[in-house]
Amino acid sequence: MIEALETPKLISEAKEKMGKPLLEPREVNRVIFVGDTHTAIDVTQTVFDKFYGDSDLVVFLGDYVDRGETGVENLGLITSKFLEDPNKLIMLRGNHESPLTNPYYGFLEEVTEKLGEASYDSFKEFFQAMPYAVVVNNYLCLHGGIATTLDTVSQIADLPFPDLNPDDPTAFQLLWNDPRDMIEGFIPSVRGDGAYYYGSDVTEKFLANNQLKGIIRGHEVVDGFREDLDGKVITIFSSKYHGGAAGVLILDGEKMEQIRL
Amino acid sequence: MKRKTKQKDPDLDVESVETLIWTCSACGADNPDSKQSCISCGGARAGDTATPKAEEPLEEQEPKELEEPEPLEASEPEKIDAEETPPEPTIFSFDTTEKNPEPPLPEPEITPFLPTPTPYTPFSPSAATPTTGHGRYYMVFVNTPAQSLIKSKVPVEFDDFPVVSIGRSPENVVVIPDQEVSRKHAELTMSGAKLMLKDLNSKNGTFLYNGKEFQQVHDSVEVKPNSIVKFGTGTIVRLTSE
Repeated sequence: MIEALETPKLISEAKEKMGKPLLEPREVNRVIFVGDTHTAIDVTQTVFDKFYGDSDLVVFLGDYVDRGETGVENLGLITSKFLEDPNKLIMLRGNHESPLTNPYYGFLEEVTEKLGEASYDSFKEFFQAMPYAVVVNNYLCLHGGIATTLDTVSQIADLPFPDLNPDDPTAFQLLWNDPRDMIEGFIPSVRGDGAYYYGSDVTEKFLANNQLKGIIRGHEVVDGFREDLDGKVITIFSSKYHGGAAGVLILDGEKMEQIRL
Repeated sequence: MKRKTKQKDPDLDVESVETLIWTCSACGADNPDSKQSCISCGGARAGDTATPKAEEPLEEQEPKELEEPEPLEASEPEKIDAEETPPEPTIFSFDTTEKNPEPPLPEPEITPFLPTPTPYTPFSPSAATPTTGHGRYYMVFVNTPAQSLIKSKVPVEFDDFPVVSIGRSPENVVVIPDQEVSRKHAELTMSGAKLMLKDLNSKNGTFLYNGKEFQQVHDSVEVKPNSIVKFGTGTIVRLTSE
């Protein structure tokens, strides 16, 4: 178990090993995808205990903190595993790895209580160093989804970086957008200014243009999983606070398995 | 694009985000997670319409500047609260679990006024062509706080109800369990060959998407198949026809 006091040192060390908005594409045999954990350290521990060992890669899709009281420990646990083997674990950034949300959803208060308010600066530095996206076995993995301004995956590599909130409209949408296969194009999201729903046609076009099989993302409360566009877009939610299942997706060769914890 | 710091949503303080609250779809009252029946009207809790106060759709307000944190619908003068609401637990549930291998949810009690929703068939380009026929209309939920309703498809049948009322309270033809939707929010009618959408002076407004933004509907406006309509702040539907 990770103590809260260990986390600042862990993230400081890990920050140096993250550092770009788009990671190099990966091709592996067996990969585990984990959605929003939102402080659910028990889910994170289960992933490491049950799935990490015989996998080639574990991808966390963001949102490690807020909405609970063990965000510091959850982040510390994932970071410690990342540091064990940075090639085997990917920590993508979620919209909750941001000062846009932390003052309102508990993480700033948690950090202040456990480590002192000044310590929050080290978390901000870590958050803005986290990557937005990676392509694994031809699936685009990111927290929210494609953006109105995005034609190719490679554009993500050129986004302003670091970007604390982020303020760049494309980066913001990568973390905040949601898929809706019953619409076409992009329509404004109820999440607020700058966030959109991405529809079936724009998603199909993006996947075709980038030779992608699909999108694997988190960001929405679902009972473990939701599939859009005939399974080409998979949403995973891996927390417990919503009272539903915590989803863990396994991709083993061509076989995809949905586990509900 | 510079993003301003948002105001805190008064409904999303630290306590509330950690406390699961379900909203009675019969009377709209909030209830603690520990209760299986409504503390206000006695209505039964329906598992898939119980809305955690803190779930992601509420967070949907985050990037928005919440400059006017208004009180919830419950404080409206048009109080039709538990006392005036029929006491029977007319909780409904949509079946959106066709692909879900989870055990079936408890048998829902269907409110007699609620059209039976059918599972949504993924969008096909051929169905996107605007039509003006008198076919059967549907509302497909693009977004609403009750996540289980997203993608569900609700028939809008004018043969049964010449005026299809839409709102949060159970006497509506289409009931939307969203606190930001007024009890009597809007209505759909046929005017000759035209499908008309009327806002019933709702608190948070009715909006029609014009291809760029949601424009507020004042009084009545014509809508067509594939129009996208927003009720209040968090519920968006797409109208379709067959």
